[in-house]
Amino acid sequence: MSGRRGRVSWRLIVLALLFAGGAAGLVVRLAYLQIVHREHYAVEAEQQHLSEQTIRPTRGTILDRGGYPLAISLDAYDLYIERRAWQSRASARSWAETLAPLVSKSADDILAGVAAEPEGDYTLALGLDYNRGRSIVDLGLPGLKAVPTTRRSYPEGDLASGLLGFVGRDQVGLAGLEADLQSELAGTPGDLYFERDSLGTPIPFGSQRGRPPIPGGDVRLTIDRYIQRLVEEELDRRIEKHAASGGTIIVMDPMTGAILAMASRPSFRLTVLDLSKEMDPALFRNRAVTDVYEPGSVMKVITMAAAVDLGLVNANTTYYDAGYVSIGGITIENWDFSVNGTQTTTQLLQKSLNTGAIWLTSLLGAEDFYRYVQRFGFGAVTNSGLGGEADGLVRTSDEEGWYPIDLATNSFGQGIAATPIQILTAVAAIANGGKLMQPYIVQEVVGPQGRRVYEPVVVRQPISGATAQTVAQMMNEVVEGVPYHLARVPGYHVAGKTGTTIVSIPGGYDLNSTIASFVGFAPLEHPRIIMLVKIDQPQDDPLGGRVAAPVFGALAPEILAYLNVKPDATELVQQEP
Amino acid sequence: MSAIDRPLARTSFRLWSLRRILALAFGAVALLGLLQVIETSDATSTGYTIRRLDQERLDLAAQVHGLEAEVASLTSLERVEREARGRLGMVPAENVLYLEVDTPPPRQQPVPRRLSGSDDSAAESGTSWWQALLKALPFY
Repeated sequence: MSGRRGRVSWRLIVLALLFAGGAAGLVVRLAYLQIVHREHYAVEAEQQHLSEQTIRPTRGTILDRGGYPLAISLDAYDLYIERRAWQSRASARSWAETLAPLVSKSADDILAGVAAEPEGDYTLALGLDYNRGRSIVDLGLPGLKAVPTTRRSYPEGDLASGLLGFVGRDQVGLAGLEADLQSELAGTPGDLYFERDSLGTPIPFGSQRGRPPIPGGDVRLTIDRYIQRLVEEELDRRIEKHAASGGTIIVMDPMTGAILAMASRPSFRLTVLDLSKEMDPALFRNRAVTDVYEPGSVMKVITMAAAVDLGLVNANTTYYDAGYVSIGGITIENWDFSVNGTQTTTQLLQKSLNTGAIWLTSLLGAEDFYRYVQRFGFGAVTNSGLGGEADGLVRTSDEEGWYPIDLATNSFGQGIAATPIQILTAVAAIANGGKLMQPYIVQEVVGPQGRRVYEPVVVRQPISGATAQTVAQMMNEVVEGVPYHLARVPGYHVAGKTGTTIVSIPGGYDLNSTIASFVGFAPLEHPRIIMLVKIDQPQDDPLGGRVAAPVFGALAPEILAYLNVKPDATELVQQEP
Repeated sequence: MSAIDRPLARTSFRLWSLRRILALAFGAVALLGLLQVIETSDATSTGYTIRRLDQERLDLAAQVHGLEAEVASLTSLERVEREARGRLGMVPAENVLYLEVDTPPPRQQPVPRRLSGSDDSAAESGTSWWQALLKALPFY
């Protein structure tokens, strides 16, 4: 190659220069990639090598007061098909026929769903049973994506549907207690970052970091499933019997405010709920706390309690009932148009005399009357913890639009709007010695952070203990002093008051439509339950005494026996020694 | 002649030692490489085993949740009534008699402890104080 000795050929030099140039170029390029743009490519490489996975936490269980699950989460799978992987018709047909029996769809439906869009994922099944989902995953079909999730199960069926509410696809509460207690039930999602291979499989002993999910807390309610079932069955029976448009029953412990049962109709059924279909959103609200109505004659016990507490009257004070009262040119009569002459305050309640209630407010005056109405909790939410609670309406004498006639009508529960829960807690203050208790439905929450127990809360004392005892005794006379009262409970002393309200409509009242109600508690001496019964627009009979009071008379004996409340001694059969 | 007069044995000994050293070195490198392959293969297998066990753990957790739901369903009021009416022929009581009984009611545990919030697991498991003390010792 060298021509003369010691001289290198020019061809070798050119070749060497070319190789050197190429090597230099490689070095420059490497320096450019690995030094100048190091951060950029390091991030890109990490994104390709690392996968991120969100780990959904297990949603907490909702239990009744006895620890029986009302709503529990089960493991499940959401299945999707990547459309691009199902391009081959023959293969897609075969895969669809394999999947069809496992997801309860026809192969044609699956193929139609996949073909509906050119790109993206087709939702094959949501919330599929875990075992079935695993068997589908194990098939290893191309394009099949399985996302672990959970779904809600209801061991007691439709019990307390309106109260429990429901969750959406992403297991977030959308209504009822599932929404109200979302922060307690949801838990905290975890995440996992791991090195993966080209197939997406985690690399053994590869880099891995993350946080485990924190499961949601279990919530134990004050609701008793057996009492709830009794209440729901009775409510459904009565609504059907009277062809009513709906109704509400609430059972509460008057001493603590713990809600033992709460049912409203119309409502929805958890076991057949399909959120993909259009539904009336009115079915999802808890009418016991959201819907207001005029309390009617039940309000008379509040008016009476105010007058007794101020020492203006006692159980035997008398007044003269002329059958009507005229105020501002407007004449108000008793509900039955009766004229009764001299009556005691106890008889006032027994006969539910509108004239008597108006007489009491003439003694009280507007200022004291509304002061007591507000002290009993009307016009403000009860802070029960249930979502959508309304605060009702009380127009006082210093507000615009108030007229003296309002004082008269308010005294017997017209012109005041309140929720069933407000009315129940107000009357409960008479049952428990004068304390306005805050109603509550969550007894405790048990979660990874520990146990949180909710104690009864006394909001205020609207009336004295002596006043409460006096009015309770008068309410007992309402039930037991009236022959054949339908709220009587054999073996127990019961106190109560009926109410019959004309339904208010925009611009006035529907004189052909009533709300029949009854509030009662038992036993008189140491009340264990207080119950509000409200039947909306009964078609066959408008009166609370004939429609709502019998509901109390039917439910109270069963509930008291279930709670092991000892009846009067005369009812006891002594065990033979 | 003196240029040829070299001790041939010393040269061959050096060559022979060099070959041996090279062979040993090559063998060591090959062995190291083999060990590396074996370790990587073992790690990969262990990784797959871990994934399998992890999946088994998830399957068992799902099974536990399913069994809890099944227990809840079996103790549901609807099922209790169905069994009472259908299998036992019971009917709702018409006349209620109230009896005063002195003995306390039996203790009941209808749901798993995780859901009932019961804390007396030690007492229920039958562990005595001296067994608990022994268990607390590090060498026990």
